[in-house]
Parts: sequence; C-alpha cells; structure tokens
Amino acid sequence: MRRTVATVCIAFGVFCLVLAPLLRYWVAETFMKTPWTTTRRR
Amino acid sequence: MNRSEDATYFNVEEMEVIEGATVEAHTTLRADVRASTDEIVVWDEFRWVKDVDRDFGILSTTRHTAHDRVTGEAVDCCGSSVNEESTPQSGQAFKWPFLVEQRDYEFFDSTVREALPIAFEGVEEVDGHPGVEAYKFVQVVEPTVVETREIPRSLLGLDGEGDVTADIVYSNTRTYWIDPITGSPLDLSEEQRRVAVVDGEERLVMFEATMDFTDETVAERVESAVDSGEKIVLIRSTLPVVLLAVGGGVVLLGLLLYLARTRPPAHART
Repeated sequence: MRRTVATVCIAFGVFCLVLAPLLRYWVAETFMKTPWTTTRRR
Repeated sequence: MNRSEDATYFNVEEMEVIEGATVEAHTTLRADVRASTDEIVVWDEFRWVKDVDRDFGILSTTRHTAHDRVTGEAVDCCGSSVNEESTPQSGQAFKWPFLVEQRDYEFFDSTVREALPIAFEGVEEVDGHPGVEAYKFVQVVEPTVVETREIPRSLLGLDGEGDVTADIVYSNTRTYWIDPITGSPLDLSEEQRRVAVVDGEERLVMFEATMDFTDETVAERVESAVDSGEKIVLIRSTLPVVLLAVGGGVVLLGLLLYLARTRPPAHART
C-alpha cells in the first residue's frame, strides 16, 4: 500500500514539475496573442 | 472614443472657422479574418471625427494594417494602406507587445505615414482608476506638410481673387498610457493641429483640438486589460510557481515513503 502511494506521489509530482514550465513557456505564449476574430468600436 | 470639448476647425460647408466645438472621434476596427494567420492579424480601421452639435463630419481615415500578434508591430504585407493608398507600415500599430518594456518604441502615425519614436516617460496611475498603473509614452510629431490644397485667397486674408495653393501642416503630441502586461492602450490624449500655410506663414487653422479618451472608454479598456492581465499572470507566474512547489514536495514525500518502505525493520538489523 505504502509503495503504491509513494509511486502515485512521485508520478504526480513529476507531472506537476513538467507542467509548470509548459504553462509558463507554451500555454502563456499561446495566450499572449492578439485575437483576430473580434470586431470592436472604440 | 476620443472627445474634445473645445475644438477649433474649418467648416468647409459654412466656409468659416468654428471655435469651442464639441468634437468626437470614433474608431471601428474590423478583423480581416481571411488575411490573418497564426502569426499576424490584419485589421481594417475606419476613423471619423465629427462636430457633435452640428453633426458635421470633419475628417475621416481608413487604414488596412497587418501586425504581429505577439509584438504588435506592423508587418508590411497583405496590401497595407492608408486612405486606400498603398502605404508600407512599421513600428507599433495599434498596441504594444505583451509584457511591455520600459524603453522607447516606434509608433506608426497614419497622417504622416511614418513610424516615429515614442518615448517612455515613466509609470503613472490611470486617471480615475486608483491602483491601476500604466506605462506612459509620449510621441511628438513635428509640423509636417501632409497635403496641399487650393483655398480661396479671401479665406486666408490674402489680397487678390481666386485660389492659392496652401500647405496643410500637421503636428501632434500623442500621449499613451499602456497596460504593462497586455500592451493595450488604457488612455490616450492627442494634441492635434492642422493649419494652412502659405509662403511659410500660418494663415488658417483647419483643425486644433486635444482629443482624449472618454471616461467610459478608459473604464472599458481598464476592465478588459485587468481581466486579461490577471489570466496571463495566473498562467505565466502563479500556477507554474504553485506547480513547482507542489510537484517538488510531492516527489519528496513519495521518495520518503518509498525509502521508509524499503528500509529493513529494526529487529532485522540487530
């Protein structure tokens, strides 16, 4: 049981560690683009 | 929308200079979806200035501009034009890049049709929005001849009959307050001036006004920028830091659990 929990913890932790830079350098870059489907008046 | 409560302009219908007019500038932006790509966005801009009380159109400008979706810089492609005339464009087109730097940029002026320096002048709170900070940029467009026009001599106070060719000289001091995260303009003030000049002498004011974003326009822009900015900060900073901390902690916990499991019982070591 303890070994299963340890394995799950390590897997989840590695997932978080991989996701962090992906969010910062990939998702954020995708997000930081001017939309081109809008029409607006100002 | 920009507005001035004390504008001076030459009304060609009434053939007289109107002073103290309330003038509004409206801008419509429409995306040219077919010409836009993942890298660039192409916008059609239509801007018109009118005297509100007389319902009189003073100026209008059309502009077709491609700009980089990340940096906000104009890209010379896709039939860039100003007033239907092919016009290569460069510099910042409508906005600044995301994560604006505290440095001078170049900003395209569609009247002189040229990118000119716009200087970073510090960080300021947006007027009427306590706690909302913006980067202030100022561009000075020195007097520049932008067209020539035939004008009756009598209108310019010149002797003789008939028309005279006058230079239309344009100048502008443009101040932008830019959201540091999204690069969107939050507030704008333009001190515009167009005068008719003959033989180096100013003869007639064609347009003179300080055009400011209205309070409603500023409020809309602040709300939109704050909303987008919070999402960017969340995705770019907050969540990665939390994930690194949680990930590191959980991996450590897993390793401890694993080591505790594999360590031999105390009685086995004696």
